[in-house]
Amino acid sequence: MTVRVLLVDDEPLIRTGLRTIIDAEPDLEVVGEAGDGIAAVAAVRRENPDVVLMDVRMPTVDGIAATERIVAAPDAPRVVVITTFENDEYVYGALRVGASGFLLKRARPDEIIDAIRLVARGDSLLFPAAIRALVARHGQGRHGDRLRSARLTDREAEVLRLMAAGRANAEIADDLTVSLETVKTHVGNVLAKLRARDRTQAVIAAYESGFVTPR
Amino acid sequence: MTEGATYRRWAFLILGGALLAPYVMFANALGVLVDGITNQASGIAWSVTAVGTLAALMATAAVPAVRAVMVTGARELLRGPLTDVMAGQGRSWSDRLRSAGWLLAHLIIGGAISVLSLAVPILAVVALVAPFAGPDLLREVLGAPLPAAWRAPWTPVAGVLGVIALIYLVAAAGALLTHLGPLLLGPSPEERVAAAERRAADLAQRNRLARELHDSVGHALSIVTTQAAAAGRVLADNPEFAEQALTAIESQARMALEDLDHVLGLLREETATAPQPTLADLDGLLADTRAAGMDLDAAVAGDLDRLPRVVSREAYRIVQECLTNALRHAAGTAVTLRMAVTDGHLDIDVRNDLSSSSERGRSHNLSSSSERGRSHNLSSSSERGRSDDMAGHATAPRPPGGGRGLSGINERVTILGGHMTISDAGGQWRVRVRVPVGTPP
Repeated sequence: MTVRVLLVDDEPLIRTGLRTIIDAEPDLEVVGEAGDGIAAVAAVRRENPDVVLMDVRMPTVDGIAATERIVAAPDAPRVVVITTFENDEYVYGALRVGASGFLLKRARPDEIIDAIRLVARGDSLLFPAAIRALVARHGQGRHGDRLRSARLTDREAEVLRLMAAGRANAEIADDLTVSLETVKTHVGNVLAKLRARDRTQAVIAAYESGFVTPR
Repeated sequence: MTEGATYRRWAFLILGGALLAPYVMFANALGVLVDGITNQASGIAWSVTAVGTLAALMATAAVPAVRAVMVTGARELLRGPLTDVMAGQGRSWSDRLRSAGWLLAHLIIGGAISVLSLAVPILAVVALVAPFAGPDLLREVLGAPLPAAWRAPWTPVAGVLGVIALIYLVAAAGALLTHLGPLLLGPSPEERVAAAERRAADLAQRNRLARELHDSVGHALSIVTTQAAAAGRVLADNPEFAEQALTAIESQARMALEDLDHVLGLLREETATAPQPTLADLDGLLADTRAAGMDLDAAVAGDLDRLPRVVSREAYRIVQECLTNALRHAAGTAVTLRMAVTDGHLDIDVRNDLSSSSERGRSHNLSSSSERGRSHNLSSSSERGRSDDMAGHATAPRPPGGGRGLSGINERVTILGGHMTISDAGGQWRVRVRVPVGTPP
């Protein structure tokens, strides 16, 4: 199954570079490009991609606002933020509103391709260490009660911890010696209870509430 | 008693005693003089002598250079909380009064400690040997036998205790002066405000440079990385793309170097010791701008000299950026500059006609794709910076090809807590800036 990718960046040279890298892979396909947030929202409706690579700093509607609009739709694609600098408060803003992860523009082509595949599968966290560092810098201590009011079972709490550590569903199944199907059920329950769109949102909530301590 | 600090401070106290000596001589001389005039040693004569000596002491302390010397001396010998105290200007009267207070405290406490430091060890030696040396000790000095009490068996103990007591007294006096130091020698409130302003300006400048690096060099290097990675992947299959990518990499790298040159230039400018220009230098700026060929109509209402330094400095840069922009993009048209200081605000208003030449400048810039990429990036960054509160400006007109200039102005305005409006209504390009100036110092 081909992963359909939409590129959003106000710099055409970044788009052509990424397009060339992605289109060289047989299982990935760039289905559209957009130069700002407004065009991105329209392109998502038109092309129905699986993954959106989204620049954060753009004129008119920026990446945060565009991400928020895109993920609000049912059956929305996953959004990966692409950024020049790791230490960027805009990236954190985009993750909070629903991006599934972020990717540095200077990442190696293999890393970019792996990231797209991983996010499309959705069964594991993208760059757990980087997300941990980002939350440690920006968001610790916010929304302390979100997790308490979610009332996770002990097993679900354990699964959430492993998700935050970057374990994929299959690995979690191994860790807990349960079936993959059971893990998927637990993950689904955690996401539902935390009202999280995907595991990135759930893990950010876990960090922000102090349930998991980033170090 | 075993701390080195006590003995270092002791030296400082002895220094105070030594500095007291000339004033004691002055008081003696003045006393003799006053006695001679009034012809009797009365309470009045004593008061006149005391006041005169005190006046001499205060006059010494009022000299700013003396304050600097006192600060250095106290910092080196007392240390503690004084280590961070730097000699300020010392020109205000409150500074001079504090200097006098410090000198007085240093001399009186130091004088007392000096006298004790001379007397106590000698007495201690006498007390130590008195029971053993017999009544003839010090007969030469006293002219009589040593009193019997001194020859009692406990006097050596008293001598040792006296020395220990002296050391504790010295430690206490040193601690007192060290405690007093920051109060009397530390920066005045005005100096603290000035230092805070300097720090704020430094920080603002650092943020500005960081943003410039982020927007220009970071952006260009991202493109270079992505394009090079892509070209490497398709070198064999798509040599045409690889060739285009190399061209893009070359031009992006070149622009990044230019931008780096610019930012490094700003950094060097920052570290240079040359003072930053303020609105006091406005006349020079206007003259230079006219000399560059601008038809400039400038008028200032209100007293610019009364603005806080930080406002004055940033306002100078704002005016400079506005005029440079106008010079660059509207060459040949008349430019109007109006500045006014009115109840708590400084207003800057720069207008020029949108000339045909500036229109040409705009189309020229848009036709060059690489140029567009960069100016677009720079100008949009300033909009992102204020996307929350000034989202409406996202669609505001841009100056022809402008980018860095306007974002620079906006950044300075933001630092000062003011706001900026840009319009091109009625065929006029107009930048208006309003910043609060608070209460003038």
